[in-house]
Parts: sequence; structure tokens; C-alpha cells
Amino acid sequence: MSFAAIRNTATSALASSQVNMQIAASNIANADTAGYTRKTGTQLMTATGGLGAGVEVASVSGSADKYLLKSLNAATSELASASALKQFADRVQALFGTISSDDSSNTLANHVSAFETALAQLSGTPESQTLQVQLVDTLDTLVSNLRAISTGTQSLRASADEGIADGVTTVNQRLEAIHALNKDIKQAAARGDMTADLEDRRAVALQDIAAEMNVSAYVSPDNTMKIYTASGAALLDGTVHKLNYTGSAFVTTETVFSPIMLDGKNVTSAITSGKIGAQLYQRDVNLPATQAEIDTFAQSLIESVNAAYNQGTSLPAPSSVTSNAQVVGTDALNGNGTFRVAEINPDGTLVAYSDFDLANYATFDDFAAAIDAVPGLDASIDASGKFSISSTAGNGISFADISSDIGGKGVSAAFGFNDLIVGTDGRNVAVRADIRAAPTGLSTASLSTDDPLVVGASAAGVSPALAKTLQKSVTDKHDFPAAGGLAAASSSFASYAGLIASRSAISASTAGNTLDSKQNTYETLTTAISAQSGVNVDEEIARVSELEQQYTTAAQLLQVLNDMFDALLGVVK
Amino acid sequence: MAMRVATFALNDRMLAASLQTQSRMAEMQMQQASGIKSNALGEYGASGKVLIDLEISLARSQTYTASAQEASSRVAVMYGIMDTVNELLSNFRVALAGIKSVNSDAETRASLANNASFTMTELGALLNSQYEGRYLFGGSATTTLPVDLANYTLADPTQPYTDYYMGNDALASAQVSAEQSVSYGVAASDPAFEKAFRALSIIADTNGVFGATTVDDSLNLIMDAINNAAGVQGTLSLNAAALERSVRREEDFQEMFKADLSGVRDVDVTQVAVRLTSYEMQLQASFATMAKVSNLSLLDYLR
Repeated sequence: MSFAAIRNTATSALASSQVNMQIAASNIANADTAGYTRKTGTQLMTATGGLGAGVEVASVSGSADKYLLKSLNAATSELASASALKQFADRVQALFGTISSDDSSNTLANHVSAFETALAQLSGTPESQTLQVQLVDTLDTLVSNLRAISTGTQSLRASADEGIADGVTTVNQRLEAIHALNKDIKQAAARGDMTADLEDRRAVALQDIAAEMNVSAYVSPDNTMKIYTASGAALLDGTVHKLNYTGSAFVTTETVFSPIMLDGKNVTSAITSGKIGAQLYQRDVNLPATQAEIDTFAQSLIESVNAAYNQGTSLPAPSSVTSNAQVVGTDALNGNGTFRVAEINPDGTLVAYSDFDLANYATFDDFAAAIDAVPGLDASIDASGKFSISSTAGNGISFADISSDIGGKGVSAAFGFNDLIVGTDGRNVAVRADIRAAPTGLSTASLSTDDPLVVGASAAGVSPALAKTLQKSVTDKHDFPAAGGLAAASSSFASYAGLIASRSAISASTAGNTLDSKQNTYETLTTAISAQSGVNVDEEIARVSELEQQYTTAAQLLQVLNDMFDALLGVVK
Repeated sequence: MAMRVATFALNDRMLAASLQTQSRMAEMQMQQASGIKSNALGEYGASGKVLIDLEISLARSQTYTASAQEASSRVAVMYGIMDTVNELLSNFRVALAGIKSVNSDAETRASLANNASFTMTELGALLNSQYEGRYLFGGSATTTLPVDLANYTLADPTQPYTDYYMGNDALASAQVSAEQSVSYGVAASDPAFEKAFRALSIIADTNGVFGATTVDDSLNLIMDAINNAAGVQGTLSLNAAALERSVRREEDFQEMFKADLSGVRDVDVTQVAVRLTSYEMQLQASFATMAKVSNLSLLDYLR
């Protein structure tokens, strides 16, 4: 054993403790970096000719457990999905109103209730102008609420769509990053440098992708990471395959969204978890379901209320009425029974009247011609299909169904001569504009169905029965078809509104529970991973202190060596 | 059980736990302040539907009560008017009976004719009574005078004559429960009044010159009228009783609904206060622990 060998050994000890110190310092500095795993140096004894010749730090390795990481990615997808679902669920159920402590909350169902109350009050005192104004007011509040919920739902869909576009951008960026890291790791390995830090960064980038969409990833033997979608399409295998998606600028119920494309194939159905998965679900399934429920409600309300309201006439009656519905003149009438058209004075006394037996008219054109043939009445169907009847002398026009119907609906209701609510669904439902502007023009009278009527006698008067019919049309049970997330139901309007609101409330509550459980799973995994590979600062400090001792001892060895050499030189002199 | 922990991960977890306790405390404080579990429907889960249904039922019940009470007060007014009508008719009957029994002179007869005339006008005025600005005895034509005696000309006393009546036949009704609608009131064309007018008009038109048959005709009519009027009052009082019963029943329901609503929606403020105290303690303990853990460092002991 020469002095040189001893010196080399001691020097290698110094060098290795310096490397270890550097590793420890790096650990301490990165103690709070996300995704950083604790690095340790692997020390190897070097030997020459069977004798120990020092130590070297052969490699620096991270301590990540790849199986735990795989579970963590899956849990990240689930958590991100649950979190996004909860957010949307909260925002949807907020659209339906809030509960207050005074027995009358602010939900859609309460607005229907208020409308019912106004109807009841009007039926008690039908001629009261105040109550008429109140009725139109409560109805306006109700339909405005329906429109607001519809608008809110569509705007949530729009924000889901934006989120999807953002998510796709993030995924593409991370794919690029991982691809670059794959190359770097390969090069570093070829050079013999440590790759553990690069692998950590790659794992973090993969987690970001997992948060956006569910993927399956594995690291091949040559230390490159390959990423695939759940259906097996490659996102990253030697090259980056980017996802392609363009969001829609304006979202309505008719919007057809472009699919998420990968290499020309539609992968939208492969994304079932992660933020993108949750947003796809909200945009395409859950929110449209809510809209469908609101639309069903609105359509039923429009039909019921108009059927009742069309039985009434205003005093003074309008001298010309135009249908809300559009008809084709040559279509079959399918009418039965007797329909009465009367001209009345502003005080309800009769000017003239005619009864029409609907079975005599084959088409709408025939019907219009028959009404037109009556002196004093003009009837026509204009180019856009609107059927209008007017009084030549400017008298009020009023109708009555004497057991008549067209296709099962009352004649006036079928044409929509005197609708209270206009619109086709939850987005455009509204109180008829002229009634909203002048609520005291509300129809509270009805034309007498007596046979015969006497000219000059009262033919139309304020009818409590009409107000009552209107009230019953809202409080009675209706059959609602299956819509959105609700099965077919038979209930009153207020109750159905409650059903819609409570379905979204239950969604929100379930989403909250799911989120809690996914959160727990995620936390358990992150705890396990950090326990295994996280940096414990005290541990590093203890290590540094130990390395200090090792360094001092090795340095002392050199000192002793020098003394021995000096002694040797002293002898030789 | 892990044998080691990562320092910063541990701190983060402890902080997250403290924040969670803090947010639960905040929720409880909101509950304490508002008295209800939450103002978001989602927090009630499945009992959200129950809550909404209860509120709707309560609102409906209150509507029924209001309708019934409105009808009730109108019926009471009509009943009061009927009392006066009965008095009028009775007085006239007594006067007629008096004329019939004693052979009276021209002056008495003239005065009876005047009496009849005044009574007719007074009866007309009573039937034209208004309550809250609406005519009560005109059916649903509440803005026109029900009785107009200006053109009252009786051609044939043996036939019913209702040309004086300007109202219609549509009686008011109140929806006092989901299934029950109480029709109430009486029109001025009711036989009680129609006959009374005929009876009075027979005497009033004679200008004091009439014989025994006229008195008999009038007396028969007025007796019929009085009987009918009693019937009308009977109906009115049945109406009033029905309305009152429905009000009481609906008020009972309302109490039940309110109690149930409170059960679903309200929090027990005492319970919340107690839980709040324990959460507070928990939060303080968690803060203390965090402080302690972050103070423990090997560095302090390596000097």
C-alpha cells in the first residue's frame, strides 16, 4: 500500500461526502417542490487488486414508487372530475333559487305558488283591476324565472365548452413537455448523468394531463414514457399526437359541438374522467337534461293556461284577432261541434252573432270563407299562415265553444286567438306583450253559449267561472312526459317545479359526497407517496451532520498521512 | 402506519385539516345566524323536495283560507241585509193583514199604497247595497246596479216578472280546499224578492183604490216572499257555516305544515351553539399543534 493509494482513498472519501452533501442540499432546497422525490446517492466501494481503494458515488436515484404513481394518476383524474361536477352542480341548483327562513322561499315552485294565489284572489273578485295587475305580475315573474334558468343553463354549457377547449390546450402543452423530457432523459442516460430529477418533472407533467383527462401511461424499458387514451389511441409514443378541438362561440340548445379529434378519429367518448370528462358530461348530458325538464314544464304551462284563457273574452273585446298559430289553408280542419263568433259592444251587449258547425268545413280555407261570408265579419289566412277574423264595423269580436273542438283543443285555443302566454319552450316563454303592457285588459268575461242570443241583451259578462277554470288549470294534476332526468309524472305545476329543483339539488348533494370520498382517496395516496419519497428536513439535517463528521474524519486521515510523510522525509535527511 | 413523513407534506396536511375545521365552523355560524340549515337547496339533499312541497302546500292552504274569509265577510253582510229585508216584508204583511181584517176607509188605503211605494223603493235600495265597492245581489255583474225600478210595470200579477233585474245568474263561489268549492250569495232575481216586488207593486199601483181580492193577492205573494226570504237566510247561514269550517280545517293544516317545515329546514340553535364550542376548541388545538410541530427542528439540538 503506497502513500498515494492511501491519499487517493482519503480523497475519494472527501469527494464522495461532498457529492452526498450536494445531494442533501438539493433535497433540502427542493423540500417543498411539487412532485420532488428524495434523492439518495448510492455509494460503492472501489477495489483494486482485492483491496479497498476508496468509495465512489455510483449513482443518484430517486425514490418514486411507480405503482403508487399510477394509482395517483387515476385518483387525480377522479378527483378533478368530481370537483368539476360539484362546481357545476352547485351553480345549476343555485339557478333554482334559495331557501329562506320565513316559510316562503324564492324557488321556481314558490313562483308557481304565488301565481296560484293570484289566480285564486282574482277568481274571488274578478273585476278588480288591482288583482288583474297582480296576476299578470306574478305570471311575469314566473315566466321570467323560467327564461332565466334556461339562459343560465345555456351559459353553463358555454363555460363547460370553454373549459374543454382550455383543457385540450393544457393536455397538448404537457404532451410536448413530456416528449422533450423523454429526449432529455435519453440523452442524460447516454451521458451517464442522473435522470431522477427529469423523471420527477415528467411525472408531474403526467399528473397535469391526468387531471384533465383519463389516460394510461407506462414507462418503457428505454425510459421513455408512452401515453394512451382510455380507448388505446396513442397520444405520445415516439411522436406527439395532439388533440384537436374548437370550441363554439355561441351556445344554444341547437348547437352541435365539434368532436375532440385525435389523428382524424373522434375520441370524445374515450374521455370519461378528469376535468374534460366532467365538462363533457355536463355539456352534453346533465345540463341539456335540466333544459329539457324546464322546456317540458314551460310547454305544459303554455298549453294548459292558454286552453283555459282562450275560453274568455275581454271587455271591451278587440275588433280584430289574429291567430298565434300558423295554419296552412289547404290542411284538413278536423273540427267538430258548434263554434260561435259574436260581435259585442264594449259593455258586453250583443250586436250580432253566428254559429258555425265545424263538421261542414273540410279545410281551413273553407272555414275562413264561411266566416267571411257573414256580413259584418271579415276572415282570412295571410301569406304567413296567420288566421285573422275582424269586425267590419269595428265591434268587439268574441268566441265561444259550444262543444266544439279542433283536433281535441277548443277552437280559440287551437288557433291561439286569445293566448295569455306566448312562446314555445323555456327560453322564449313570455306573457303576451299587450297584456303585459296593459294588465287591465285581461280577459275575465266569457261569451254566453245560450241558444238563441238576443241582440241588445247582455251576451258577455265577467265570469267567476272563467277565473276558476284558469285557477284549476294550474292547480290540477297534469301528465308530464318523461323529460331530462325525470320520469313521466302526474302532478301539479308547482309540484313538478319542485321535482325539477330537487333533482338538481340531489345531484349537488351526491356530487358533494362523491367529491369527499375522491378527496379522501387522493389524500391517502399522496400521504403514502410522500411518506415513502418526500423530503423530511430533519432527516436531511441529520444526514448533513453525519456527512460533516465523515468529512472531518477523512480530512484528519490526510493530516495523519502528511505527518507520516514528513516523518519519513525527516528520517531520510 | 408509515415510519417516516415528509416535512412539507405534513405541514400542508395539517393546514388543510385546520382549514376544513374552520370552514365547518363558518357553516355553523351561518346556521346560528340564520336559524336554518342552509339557504342552498342542494344542502338538503333528498329532503329538498319535501321542503318545497311543504311550502307549496302551506301557500295553497293560506290561499284557501283567504278565499274563504273573503267569501265569509260578504255572506255576513248579505245576511245582515236580509235581516232588514225580513223586517220590511213583515211590516208590510202586518199592514196588509190590518187592512184586510178591518173595513178601512179611503185614507187608510191611500196610506197603504204610499207605504207599498216606499217599501218598494227601500227594498230596491237594500238590494243595491255595495260592499267593498261591489254590488252584492247582482250575481257576477258587480259593477252594475242589480235592481232598476224606474221602468217597473207589472202587466200580469200572476206571472213572475224579473225585468227589474239588471244583473246575471252567475253566483260567486269560493275555492276553499282542493276539492271543495262553496257557492254563496243570492241574486236580486230570487223568488223571495221577485214576489215581494210584485206584492208591493200590486198595492202601490192602485193609488189607494183597491178591493179585497187585490189585498188577498198581495197578501199571498208577500207570505210566499217571506217564506222564501227565510229560506234565503237559511242558505246564507249554511254557507257561512261551511266557510267557517273550512277556515278552521285549513288553519289546522297550516299549523301542521309549519311544524313539519320547521323540522326539515330549521336548526336547533342550542345544538349548533354547543357544536360550535367544540369546533372552536378543535380549531385552537389544531393551531397549537401546527405551531409546535413547526418549532421542532433538529437544528436547535445540533449546536
